[in-house]
Formats: sequence, structure tokens, C-alpha cells
Amino acid sequence: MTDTANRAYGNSEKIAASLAARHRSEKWFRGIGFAAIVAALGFLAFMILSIGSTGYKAFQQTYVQLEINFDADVIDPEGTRDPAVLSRANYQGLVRKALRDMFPDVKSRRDRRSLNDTVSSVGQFELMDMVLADPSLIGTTRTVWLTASDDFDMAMKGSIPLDVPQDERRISDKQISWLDKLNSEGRLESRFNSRFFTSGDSREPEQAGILAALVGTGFSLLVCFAFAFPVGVLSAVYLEMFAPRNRISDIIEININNLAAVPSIVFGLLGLAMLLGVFGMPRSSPLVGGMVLALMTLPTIIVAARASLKAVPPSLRDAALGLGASEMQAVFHHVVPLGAAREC
Amino acid sequence: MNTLARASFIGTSRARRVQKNIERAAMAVLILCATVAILTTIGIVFSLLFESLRFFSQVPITDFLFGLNWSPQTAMRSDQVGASGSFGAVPLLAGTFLISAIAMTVAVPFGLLSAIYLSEYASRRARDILKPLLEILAGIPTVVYGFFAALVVAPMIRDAGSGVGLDISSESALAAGAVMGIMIIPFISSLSDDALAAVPDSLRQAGYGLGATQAETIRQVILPAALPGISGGILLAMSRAVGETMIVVMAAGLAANLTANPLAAVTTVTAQIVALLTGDQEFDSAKTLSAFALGLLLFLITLVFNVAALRIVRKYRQQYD
Repeated sequence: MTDTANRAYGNSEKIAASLAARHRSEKWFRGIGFAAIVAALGFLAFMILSIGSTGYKAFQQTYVQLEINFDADVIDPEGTRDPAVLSRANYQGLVRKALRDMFPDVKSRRDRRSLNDTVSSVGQFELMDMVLADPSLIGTTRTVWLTASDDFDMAMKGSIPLDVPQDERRISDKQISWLDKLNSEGRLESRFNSRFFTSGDSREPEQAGILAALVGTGFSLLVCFAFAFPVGVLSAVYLEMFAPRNRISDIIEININNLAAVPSIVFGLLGLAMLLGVFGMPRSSPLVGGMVLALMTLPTIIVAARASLKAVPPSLRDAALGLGASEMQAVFHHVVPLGAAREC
Repeated sequence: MNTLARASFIGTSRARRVQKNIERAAMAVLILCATVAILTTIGIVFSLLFESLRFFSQVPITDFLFGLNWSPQTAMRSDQVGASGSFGAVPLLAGTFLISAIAMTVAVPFGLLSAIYLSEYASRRARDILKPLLEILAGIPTVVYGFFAALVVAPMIRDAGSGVGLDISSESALAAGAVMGIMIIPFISSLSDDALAAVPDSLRQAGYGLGATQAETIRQVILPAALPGISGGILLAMSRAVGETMIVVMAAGLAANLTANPLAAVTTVTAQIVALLTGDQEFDSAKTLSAFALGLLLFLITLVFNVAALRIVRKYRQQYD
């Protein structure tokens, strides 16, 4: 009697102990699941932060202040004020002279050349635009802000390590001393880099922008959408509403699901062989790119459109048919608008 | 009266005939649209096959499939160094699968555990917040991941390696694979989520009724029941990893090394296709044509994964209907 009671007591103790262990493992399992989500979101946050903290500098651009003498003898010796003459003048020389005057102790040819590298090669065009906009500048000396070159810009942003030997970095010790002098005189300024949004690509980083790439992306997307949307929706309508349920529609279904998982680079090869090779369409045009993108997105559009068509109650179609509408009318006047509304 | 009725009858019958013709034309347009997807597949198969056959007429197919050396050059002069290019795809396949395997070791645990937490533990509100956040990862363009892998993760891994005295290539398979894994997490998590949600609630209740804790029910009842769906999802994710291009172009190397070392630089099929086709190329050199042979190989590999995955998922669905 006492023996069995003891045994039962021992069992319940064992059960109590195992229960605690099971609850601990429950807690662990739950914790691991939560940790997995936190880690995944942590990756996301880290990626956005690291790209953001590196990338935001591109939105700023360093400008150098110079005293430019708009010398009439250089710009317009005849005094005609003809725009054709004004736009042919040697503005690069004006920039160089201003730099020379600011650093009179820079003598050697090599040093002068590296001094000229302070200002971007776009500086001469900035001066030209100023003169064309306001010819009365000619003959005066003005304080002008010009775009700094990429190396100086990077140095100003702290992206060039200054503690390494001179020949391991993009700017020399002398250039750093000029930079410091300009900086202490308040002749360097960081501004919003509006050129980044208004110019195309360039070999000079400080003059490069994303406008051309943005326009190209826009055109490709436009072509892609104009092609993929109607074709995708119409084929979804056919497959969901009219196609007979047989082997062929089964094959089409499997084919679309497979096509959705074909790597994008294979679509690229298709475009290269078919659109460029067989049909001889122009290379690098947004038309070809957009069409290949359209073929690639087609399966996704078909699957999504079919799902939203499927969600429209069949009673609507039946009601339309009952009122004497043809199959086509029932689908296009009633089912498709409702499906589209669901999708939006 | 009689003539009026007849006139209107003739009128409606003409209208009906016009209507019928319009509908017939509309139906033709619909069928035409539905065949575009089929034509795309046919186009892919034929263009890859045709160009690959041209490649195999210059390079024997056995050299391509079993060759251990990849250095795609076509000589301009016969006495040139490395004049005989070698087109052995094995190192590329090895690199592709090495990087994909690394990606899956990152993505499967994180994705699966996230899915389990989201579908079994999280409250409705937490789920509504966490799931869209996780899906942001899937919406980021792969070129951003590539940038992240090449400029942030790879130097980090290299510096960590040199800290402990390991010589790690800055184009290591590990960097590309790990970042690809992060990209695939939401893919696995959402497919596993669907599979877990499809398990009938009665199984869950039965588990609790037998006295199992929630974790025990999940591990011993729900996961086995959802396993076909989950493995289908993993196969689809694998196919995605094999075909992923931008990350490996930016973060993996171009030198074809036959190695299983995740710290070494390897190259992949997709990265080689890009390298072969960028820049000016003649259309009929073995070098350019080899890109199509690689594309065919890639297409077939991903096709096997996709078909297997779709078949598993389909079979599983029928089980509970």
C-alpha cells in the first residue's frame, strides 16, 4: 500500500520534472522562432542603414569659391557680345588664372597642373553659362562658386584616408595643404547635388547623374507595361473563363507556373537570340528591354489576374447570361470590371 | 404591322450577326494572348537549343559537360597563348551549387523558424506588422543586394578572416551566398507559412488533446504534415538561388575554381553568361555561343527543380481536399 503510494509519488515527481523540462523547451522553441524574425529584420535594417550611410554623400557636392576676373580681352576681345564668340572663349584659362592668383607660390608646371585639378572640368562651362546669361559680367571681377573635382570632393567628405602614404591615395600632400587653406578661408562649401538628378552618366564622377538611367528605366517599364498588362489580363480571362478544361489547358497552366520560375537571365538570352538575332531589332533600345521584361512578368500578371477573376462570384456571370447577355458580354461587362476592382 | 415586325426581325438578326462576328474576333484575340506564354516557352527552348547546337558543333558536348577547366577564349591567331579555349562547365556548376548551398543554409533555418513563429505563435496584430516587414526583403531589387554583398559584407568577412589569420578572398562564395540567403528568407518563409496554414486545425487540436505542448505539436504533428509543402517551397527557393544573377555578378568572382571552400572565390553559371555577353562580341564565336549552352544548362536545372516542386505541392494539396 505505502509502496504503491510511494511509487505513484515518485512517478508524479518524475512527471513534474519532465513537465518543467517540456515547458522549458516550449519556451526555447518559441524564443528561437522570434529570434529568427528579429534576425531577418535585423539584416534588413543593417542593409538599409549601411547603404544609406554610404550613399547619402552622393547627394552632396563640394563647391570652391574663386575670384574670377571676367577679362574682356579673353572672353570678347572685339566687344561684339555675340553669343557665338562668347561661347568659344577660353574660360578654362580664367579658372586657371584665378587659382594661380590665389596660390602665387605654386610655381612648377606639375604643381600648377595638380592645382588646376581642384576645380572640375565642368567649371569652364559654369562660367560660360554665367556670361551668356549676363554679358555685363565681362570686364568685372566676381566671387564665383565652381564645382570641385571628384578627388577634392571625396577628400572633403572624408572618404580619402589621409593617414596613408602619399602615393597610396588619390590626392597629394600639396593638394591637401591647398584644400586646408581654401577651407580655412571659407572658400569650400557643401551643397545639395542637384546635378545628380539632372545629368546623364559621365566619366567625371562629379558631373555624373542618374537622369539618363532614370529615363531609360521609365521607357523600358512603359513598354513592358503596355505589352504585359493587356496580354496578361486577356490571357487570364481566356484561361479562367473560356478555356475548355482539358489536357491543353493543363499544359498551359503548368507552362505558366514553370515560366514564372525561369531565371531572368534565360529571358535575356531569349531576347538576344530572338529579338536581336532573328528579328534584328536595335540593340540597347528600351523597346527590346521592355519587351523582354514583359515576357518575364507575363506569368506573374496572369497568375494574379486569374486569382482575382476566380474571386468574382459565378452567380454574377449566371445572372448576366440569364438576362440574355452573350458569354463575351457577361465576362467583359460584369466579371472583368469586378475582378479589376478587387485587384485595385 | 406585319411588315414592321418583319423589318425589326431582320434588323435584330443583322445586329446579332455583327455581334457574333465581333465576339468571334474577340475570342481569337483572347486565344492569341493566351498563346503568348506558350510561345515564350517555345522561343526559349528553341533559341537556347539552336545556339547551343551551333556551340556543340565547335566544342564537343562531352567536353562541355565533363570538362574540369573553364577558360573561354577563342584564338584570333593560331599561335596565341591559350589559343585553345576550354569550355568545361563543371567548375561553374560547382560554384553555382556552392553559393546556392550557402544561401540555403542561411535561408532555410531563418525562413522556416520565422514562418513557424508567424503562423503558430504570433498574435494577429504581431503577424500583421511582422509579415509585411519581412516581405520588404523580397521587394528589394537584387542589384541592391549585390551592392550590399560586394561593398559591405565581403570586406567585413575578409577583415574578420584576416583578424583570425585566415586568408579570405574579397570575392568569397560566403559573402555572395550569405546575402543571397538573406534575400531568399521571405521566399521560404511565405511558402512555408502557406504550407503550415494548410494543415487542418483538427490535427493541431488532436495534438493538444493528447497533452502535447504547442512546440511538441508543431514539431511532431504539424511540421511532418506540412513537410511536402515546405520541401516544395525549398526546391523553388533553390531554383531561384541557382538562377540568381545580379548578386553573383557583383559579389562572386570570375575565375573558375573547382573548390568546395566557401572562403575561396568561385564563379557561377549566371555570372559567366553575363561576362561572356557584355561588351562587343561576334555572334558566332564559340565564346559567345557558350553563353547559350550555359543558359540551356541553367534552364534545364531550374526546370527540374520547378517541376519537382510543383509536383510535390500539387500532390500535397490533394491529400487534404
